[in-house]
Amino acid sequence: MAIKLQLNNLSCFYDDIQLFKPVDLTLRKGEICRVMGPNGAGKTTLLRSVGGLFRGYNGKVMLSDEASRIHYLGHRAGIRDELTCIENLQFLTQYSLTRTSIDSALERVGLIGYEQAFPDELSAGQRRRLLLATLFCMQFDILLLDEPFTALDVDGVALIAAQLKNIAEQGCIVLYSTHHADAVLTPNKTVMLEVSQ
Amino acid sequence: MASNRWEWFHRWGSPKWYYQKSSVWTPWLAVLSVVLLGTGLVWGLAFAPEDVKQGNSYRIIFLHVPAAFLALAGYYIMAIAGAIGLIWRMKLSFIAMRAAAPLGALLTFISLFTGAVWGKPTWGTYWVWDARITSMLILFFLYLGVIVLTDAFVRKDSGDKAGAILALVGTVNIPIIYKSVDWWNSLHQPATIKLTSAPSMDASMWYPLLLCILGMYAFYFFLLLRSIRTRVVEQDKSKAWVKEIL
Amino acid sequence: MTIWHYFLRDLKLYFRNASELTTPLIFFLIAIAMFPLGVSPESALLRPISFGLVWVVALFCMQFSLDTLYRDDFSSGALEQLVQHEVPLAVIAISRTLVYWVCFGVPIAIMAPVLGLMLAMESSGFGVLSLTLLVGTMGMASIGAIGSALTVSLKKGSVVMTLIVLPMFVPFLIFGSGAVNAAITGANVSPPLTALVGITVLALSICPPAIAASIKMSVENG
Repeated sequence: MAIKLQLNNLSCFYDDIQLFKPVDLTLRKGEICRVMGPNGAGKTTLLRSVGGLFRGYNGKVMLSDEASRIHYLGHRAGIRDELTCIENLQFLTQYSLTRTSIDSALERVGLIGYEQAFPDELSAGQRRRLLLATLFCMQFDILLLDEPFTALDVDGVALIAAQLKNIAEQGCIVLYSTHHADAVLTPNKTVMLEVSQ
Repeated sequence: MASNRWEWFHRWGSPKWYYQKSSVWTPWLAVLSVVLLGTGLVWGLAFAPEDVKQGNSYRIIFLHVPAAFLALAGYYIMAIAGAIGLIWRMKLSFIAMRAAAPLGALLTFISLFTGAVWGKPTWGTYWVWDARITSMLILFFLYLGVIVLTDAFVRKDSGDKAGAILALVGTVNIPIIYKSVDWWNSLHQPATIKLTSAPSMDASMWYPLLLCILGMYAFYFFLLLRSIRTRVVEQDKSKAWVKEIL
Repeated sequence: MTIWHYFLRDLKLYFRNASELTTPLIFFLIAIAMFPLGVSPESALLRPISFGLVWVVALFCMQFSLDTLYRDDFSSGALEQLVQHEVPLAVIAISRTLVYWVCFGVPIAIMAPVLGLMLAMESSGFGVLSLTLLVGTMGMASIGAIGSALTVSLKKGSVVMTLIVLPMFVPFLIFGSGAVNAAITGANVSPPLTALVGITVLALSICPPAIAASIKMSVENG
C-alpha cells in the first residue's frame, strides 16, 4: 500500500496567534519535501504538528495508512553527553538494533573507533554525524527532520543529502526544514511558509 | 491523527454565547445572593441568641463556615472545570478553571483569617494547629500551586493543561491530606478542643447559618461567572464580536 | 524486556553524573547539622524533635533532587524522542521513578539513623525511621515526578515545583514521622505504617498516567 501524507489547510497557533498562512500539501511514497520560511514562521512547529508532538493546529494531517511509522528528529536530537555514542544510538533506536547494525551505521558516517567515546569528546561536526548515524539505524515510513544541514561541514552535508535520497528511494517520505536552498539536495517539493498578519 | 481546534467547541463552549447568556444569569445570582446572605447575616449577627460558652464571638461562624465550605467545594469546581477542558478541549472550561483558582484561594484565606480572629477570644491566641485550620492552610497552598503553575507558562494552552493536571492530582490528594491531618491532630492534641459542635447548636443558630451557606454559594457563582465573563472578553478582545459589544 | 534497557540508561545517567547524585545527599547532612547550631546542642531539646527534623529535611532533599528527573532529557531533546518511542510513557515514568528511588530514596533511608543519632534520637526508633523513609520516598517520588514533569519546560521550573510538590508530601510526612513517634513511645506502629504503605501504593498506581500527561504537555510546550 502506497504511503501518502496529506496536509489540508494546516496552520499552527500559539494560543490565538496564527504562525503561518494555511498550508496544503500532498506527499507520496519516495518524495522529499523541504519546508522553508523566515525565522519564527513556524517551520519546526509545522514538523512537530505532523509528528503529533504539537496539537495546537487548525486543519488536518492525514495519513493514507494509520500504521505508518512517523518519526520526528529535532534539532537537539536527544543526544546525552553522559552516554557513549553506542548507548545514545541504542536509546534513539529504541533498543531494537543489534550491535553489528549500529557498528555499520557508525562506519558509514565515519565514526568508526568512536563507539565508546562520549559525545562531548567529539567535535561539533562529529556530533552531527552521530546524529546522522541514527538515520541509518532508525526505521520509519515518514521522516521529519528539523534543520538537518546546520553545523555540518561540506562532507557532512553531502553525506546527509545522499542518505536522505537513499531513504526516499527505499519508499519513505522525507519532510525537512531548512534556512537556505541547498544545492546538494533537490527536493521534489518545497513549502514556503508565509508569516500571517 | 486528524483534529481540528474548533470542531471540539460545542455551542455552549463558545465565548460569545457564554457572554450573552451570562448577562442574563448574573443579575439573578446577584439578587439571590444579596437576599440569602443579607437575611442570613442580619439574622445571625443581630437576632440569633448568644452562645452560652463563647458569648458573641461565636457569631463569626456566619462568615467563617460558609467561606470554609466554598473554599473546599471551590477546589473541586476548579478541578472539574479543568478535567472538562482536558477531555473535551473546551477553552471556556479552562477559563472557568483559571477564574476559580484565585477565588478559591481568597475564600480559603477568608476562612483562615476569620478562624484566627475567632481563635483569639476562644483560645487566647490567633493561631492554633487545629486539624481544620491546618487542613485549610494546606488547601491554601494547593490553590497557590495551581495559580503559580498556570501563570508560569507563557503559552496559555500549556498553562491550562498543566493547571488542570495539577488540580486533578489535588482532588485525589485532598481527602488523604484531610484524613492524615485529622489523625495527626488526634495524636498530638487531646480531643477536648473542638471548633464547633454542630449537634449541640440550636435551631435558632442553624437556620441563619444555613441561609449564609446557601447565600455564599450564590455569591460564589455570581463572582465566578463575572470573572469568567471578564476573562472571556479579555481573551477575545481582538475578535469581531467583542469589538461589536464594546 | 525493553523497559530494562530504559531502566539501565536512566541509572547510568545518574551514576555518571556524580555531583547530581551526591549534592542532595550532602545537603541532607549539612541541613541536619544546622539544627543543633540554630536551636541548641542540648540533647534533651533535640531528642523529641530529632526524627521529625530528619523527616522534614528528607522532604526538602527530595524536592531539591526531583528537579534532576527530567530536566537534562528535556533540554537535550531526549524527552521529545522518548515521547515517540513505542514503550508507553507511563511505563517509562514508573521505571524512572524507581531509578530515582534507588539513587535518592535508598541512600536517604540509610543515612537517616546516623543523622538521627547526631540529633540524640532514641535508638529504638532507628529501624522504623529507615523503614518509613524507604517506603515514603517511593510514594513521594511518584508524586514529585508529576511536579517535575509539569515544570520541566519552564525556565524557573524548580521554584514552581517546590511550591506544588511540598504540600502534596504532607500525608507522607505525617504518617512517616507518626510511625517513628509510635515506635519510640511504645504505641502501636502498625496503623500509621499501614497508612503510609497504603498511600504509597496508591501514589504508585495513580501517578504514572499523570506523569505521562505532564511530559506530553511539557514536550508540546517546547
